[in-house]
Amino acid sequence: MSTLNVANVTDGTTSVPTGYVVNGSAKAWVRYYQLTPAISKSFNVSSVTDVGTGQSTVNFTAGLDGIEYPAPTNQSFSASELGVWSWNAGASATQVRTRNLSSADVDRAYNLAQFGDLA
Amino acid sequence: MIAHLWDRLADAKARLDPVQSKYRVLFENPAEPEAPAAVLVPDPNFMAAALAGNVLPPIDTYIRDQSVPDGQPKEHPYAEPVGAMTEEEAIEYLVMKDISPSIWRDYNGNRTIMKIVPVELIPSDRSFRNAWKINQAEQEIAA
Repeated sequence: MSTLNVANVTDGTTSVPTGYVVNGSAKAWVRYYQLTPAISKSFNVSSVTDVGTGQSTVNFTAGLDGIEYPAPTNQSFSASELGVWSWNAGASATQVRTRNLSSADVDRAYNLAQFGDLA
Repeated sequence: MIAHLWDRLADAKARLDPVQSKYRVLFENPAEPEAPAAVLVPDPNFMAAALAGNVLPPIDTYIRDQSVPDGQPKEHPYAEPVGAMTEEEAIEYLVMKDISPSIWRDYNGNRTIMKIVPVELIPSDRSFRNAWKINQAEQEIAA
């Protein structure tokens, strides 16, 4: 594996410090189907724990250096639902919950991206 | 110099095909007896890295890192990678990494609270998902 050690990245017109690229990259992401349950697409995820209807935990292979980093989520099942959100974002795992308009937990496919500094 | 685990994972993802495991891990938390059984789903890219070898750190580095405070240097990102595992060894690794030691190491009660099972044994009907429990009549652990 080769390493490029550069301070800036440029497209010929605009130049940005590499720190912007590193800090702005998702450190883990996953596409998860709760109904199956199965992981279809991912990076830096070791497993997903199906905890119950509409509840799961995404476990990271390379952990973060702290807790409560941003972990945006989305699901595309229906606009008429409360949706999906992450909570209790930890250094090694983040929990995810999906709910319908009646505030009932429901099984859905969702995407999660985890940002933050690596351990 | 050993590359960071995150960089090794990126390299592995670029060169290895994902591997869908034929196993799932069912487990119950003895501290929450009313909670349903949980199902651990192995990640296909993680499985590919485990089977290929020279990507993942030793499992004991994760266990030691659990007691390292946030913000302090962790051992697992730069630990010397371990060699190739069998699928069964990779599942055992995942159990120790992603399931609390209170379940796989410390529990000494009479209930079976963890089972490694073929994926076909996970019910496809999730109508009563929140009532799932490990069948105590069947003591065999799938291999």
